[in-house]
Amino acid sequence: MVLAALLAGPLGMAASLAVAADPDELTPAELAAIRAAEEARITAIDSVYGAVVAIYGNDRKGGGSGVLYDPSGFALTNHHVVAGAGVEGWAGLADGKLYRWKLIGTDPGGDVAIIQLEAKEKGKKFPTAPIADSEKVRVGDWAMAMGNPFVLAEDQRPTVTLGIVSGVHRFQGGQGMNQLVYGNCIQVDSSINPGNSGGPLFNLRGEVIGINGRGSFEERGRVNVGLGYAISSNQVRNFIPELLATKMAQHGTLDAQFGNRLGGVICQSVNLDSPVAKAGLELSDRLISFEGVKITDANQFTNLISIYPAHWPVTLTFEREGKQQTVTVRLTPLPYEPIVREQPKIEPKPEEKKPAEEKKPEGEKKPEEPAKEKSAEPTAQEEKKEEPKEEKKPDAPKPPMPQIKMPGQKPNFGKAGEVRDAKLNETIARELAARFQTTNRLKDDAELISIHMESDIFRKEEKVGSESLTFNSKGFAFTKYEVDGKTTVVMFDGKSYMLAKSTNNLTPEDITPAKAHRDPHFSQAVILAGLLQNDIWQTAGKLALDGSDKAAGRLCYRLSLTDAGSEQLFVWLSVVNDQLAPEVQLVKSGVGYDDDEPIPSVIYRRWERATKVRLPRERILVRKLNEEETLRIVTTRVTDDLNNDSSSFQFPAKPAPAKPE
Amino acid sequence: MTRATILLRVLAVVLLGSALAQAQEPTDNGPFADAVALAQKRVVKIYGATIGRSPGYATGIIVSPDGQIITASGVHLSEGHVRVTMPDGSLQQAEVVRRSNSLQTALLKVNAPTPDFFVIPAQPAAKKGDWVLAVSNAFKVAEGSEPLSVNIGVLSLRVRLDARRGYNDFPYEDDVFLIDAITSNPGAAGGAVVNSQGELVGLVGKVIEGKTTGTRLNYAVPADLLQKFISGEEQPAPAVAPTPMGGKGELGIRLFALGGRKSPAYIDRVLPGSPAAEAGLKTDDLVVSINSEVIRDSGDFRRIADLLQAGVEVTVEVKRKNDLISVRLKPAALKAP
Repeated sequence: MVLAALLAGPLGMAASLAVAADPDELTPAELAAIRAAEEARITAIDSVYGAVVAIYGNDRKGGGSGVLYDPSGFALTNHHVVAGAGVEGWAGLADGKLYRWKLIGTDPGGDVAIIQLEAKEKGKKFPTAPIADSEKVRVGDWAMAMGNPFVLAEDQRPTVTLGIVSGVHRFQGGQGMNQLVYGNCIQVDSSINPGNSGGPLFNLRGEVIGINGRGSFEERGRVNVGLGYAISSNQVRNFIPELLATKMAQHGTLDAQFGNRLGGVICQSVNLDSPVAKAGLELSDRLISFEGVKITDANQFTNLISIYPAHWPVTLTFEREGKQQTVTVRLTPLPYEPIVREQPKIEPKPEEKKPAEEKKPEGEKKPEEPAKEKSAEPTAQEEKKEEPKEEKKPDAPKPPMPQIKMPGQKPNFGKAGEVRDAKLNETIARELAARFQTTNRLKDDAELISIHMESDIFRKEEKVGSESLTFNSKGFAFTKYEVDGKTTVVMFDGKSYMLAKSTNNLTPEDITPAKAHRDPHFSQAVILAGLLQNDIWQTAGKLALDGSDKAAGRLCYRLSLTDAGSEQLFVWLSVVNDQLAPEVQLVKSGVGYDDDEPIPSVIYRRWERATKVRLPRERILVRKLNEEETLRIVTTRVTDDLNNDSSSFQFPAKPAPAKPE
Repeated sequence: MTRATILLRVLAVVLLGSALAQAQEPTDNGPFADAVALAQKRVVKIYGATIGRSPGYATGIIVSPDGQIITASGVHLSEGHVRVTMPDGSLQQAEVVRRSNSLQTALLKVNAPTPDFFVIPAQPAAKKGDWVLAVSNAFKVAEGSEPLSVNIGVLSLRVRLDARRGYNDFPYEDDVFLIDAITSNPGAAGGAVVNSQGELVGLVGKVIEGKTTGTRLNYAVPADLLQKFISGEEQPAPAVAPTPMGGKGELGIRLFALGGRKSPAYIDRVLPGSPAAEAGLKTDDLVVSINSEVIRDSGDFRRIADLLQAGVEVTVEVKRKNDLISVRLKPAALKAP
């Protein structure tokens, strides 16, 4: 009876307490609770069954699993699955049909890849599964693994195995150089067998909490031994923009090692060229917090940092002689191949440091896989810089080794950290930009218009000026703003960019697009004009997806617009909303993303309905990686103009002279 | 944030969460979080010597406020240095107080008083069909104060294990709980098997692997036997009564015992040097008759074999693949193994 009651969850337990009198009989209430719990589980499985993918190579052999998370056919799987299957192949869904898939991007470091399935009819949407917050996963939670173990399913319908979460925040060392590291991962006793790789781990609500990738397979061959590991959904989410950029993604490092000493987490080595060293970190400094989490153990830090992509901005606090310092720096990439300096003479063997390889217990050696060591490393280009040191677990090594079988041949995944397919990248960038429009257009067929916004400008709480923006569906943009008594006008009338300042009596001069984009007031108009354009941001430059980045504390797609002069304007679009549901919204724009970028960026907030689109009521001008606020712009009035009249895009005072001074 | 605080927070969330969930939907993620949190505070990681492929680490459970710990016996206890990582991550030296051969357990003592220990329940904390959680350090996944791994399964059966002895010359001789949680992994032995309230059901057993199939048995030492072991009541392994009742005979056949008395009388093992071995009987032979009496199942076999007299010749007929083979053999006198 206890068994039955527990199946039903807390409600069942409550019921079982009430009927303690007859312990071997199920009461109708208990039975109903059990049936309800079973029904809920089956409903949850039904809701995501169609999103689980069986993945095969072109030869329809081998195989792994995956899960569709996006209606356009994007699916998550393991790097080691595509390493085996190749860059394209066949994918089976629960509808029994086989679809073509192609590789989008892959992350050898964290063993995640994104593939895209091709719809049978153009534009047809695929079923998807939602991605949950893996930090909410608790030990003892039910966990359902789905996939295609042992390539059982002739009809492509996935296998479901139920177990519990056995551990969270687990760290499982990688193999090769910085590859297949399972940091901050979820351990489950749900059966994970060969073929389950890349498949989803669900909670009982049918939300993806992880991507199953490996098990503790030691002396018993590659079958389930009750210890499986899933890459946390939060790590996976962080890499989605990076992978959609068609990159071979890399993980980030501070380029500094920490160890447990004297009751603290102490910096034991640091690369002096690293951003964190330049920001002030020194040897023997004590790490206090990382990304808002208090650090009490070096392993904890290693775990936390393992889920972030290269170039991700992180905030950390360290202490020296009682003084604390907080810095925000971008992580540097962890290489997949040894970085060797050009040598005048050929060395027999470059010095190869493999910090990720930990001591293996003797039971570990698998004679049937002799060639495992040097298999399927992705080809990273040789970078001529200092070899970054990896933050490995400085304490006792972890013995359960990755037992991930890697194929001998490696498909072409491109170069580490670089876009593999620029054309595909642009297609995906355009789709994301289109989703940004969809998010904010109230009606898809709305008449395209020009919009005029009047705003006040504040420094801290004090009003210091005003701003007016006008932009239209042709990408024309106009701004006139006045801060601290100085007036500036910047505009684009479809042909040329012009600037006028009160210091030169508002006499307009022709400027380059890049210079115009460096004005954060004008660039707002350029970016927001994208909401109205059929061919979004076409006037501002060539669109591309750079990859993952953080803006205003949120995970973002960072897009770039590169003009004819190779100058860039960047746009940060959100991946998910606060409830973690997919929502592509404008978060930030700017001309640079480094800490020392002198030009402020713009953060867009408080999106509200205005006329026929949603617009950000508030924009914040920020500087540096920690996004210090300089000015705050609050919209007071929005008007639209159906005529799309270009008369708004003329200098109000006097016509432009033929020749600026 | 320390592991301990994470754990406490998890516990808090769980308590809050389940209180809310009772009022709402039954689709909460499972009622095991509190049991897990309770058990985590009472289970330790044990490190010792390593010999060959045998892992030099195991798990143990705290059973008294003054630091008594029960673990499974093994090579990790073979030398003086036994180190115990307590749930809070602190490291302790342990001494071996006592060992039990029949239960394959050892009682350790660390000098670390703790309010968190397993009370061995007076009544069994779980019965056939109940969920059980195994909390252990299988594969040494956790270290320091990191929480141990938790596997779920169902308590399948309480059964005497010595029927499986022949398989691995495994010296355990008493009852076990068979559980379907996968616990037969390196380092898991000595972990806690608890019910959904976190009460102790038993101790995770050692790795036993069948020599022919490689199948592993997941078992736990029942808590009542642990209680006897702790209090020192546990009898030393009974050294089989020497030659009882004059002429009782022994064929040297061990049957597959799982499945009860109705299971067919397949031979699991033939004792070396026994009359059955000399007569050429083999594992997987099916005993079909003894002295022309039909053996329908293992119950029949046991009944008839019990009546055999030492030195009095019998005819045993077995089915091996498609052949019926008849052998004549003289039962030997029972003696201590």
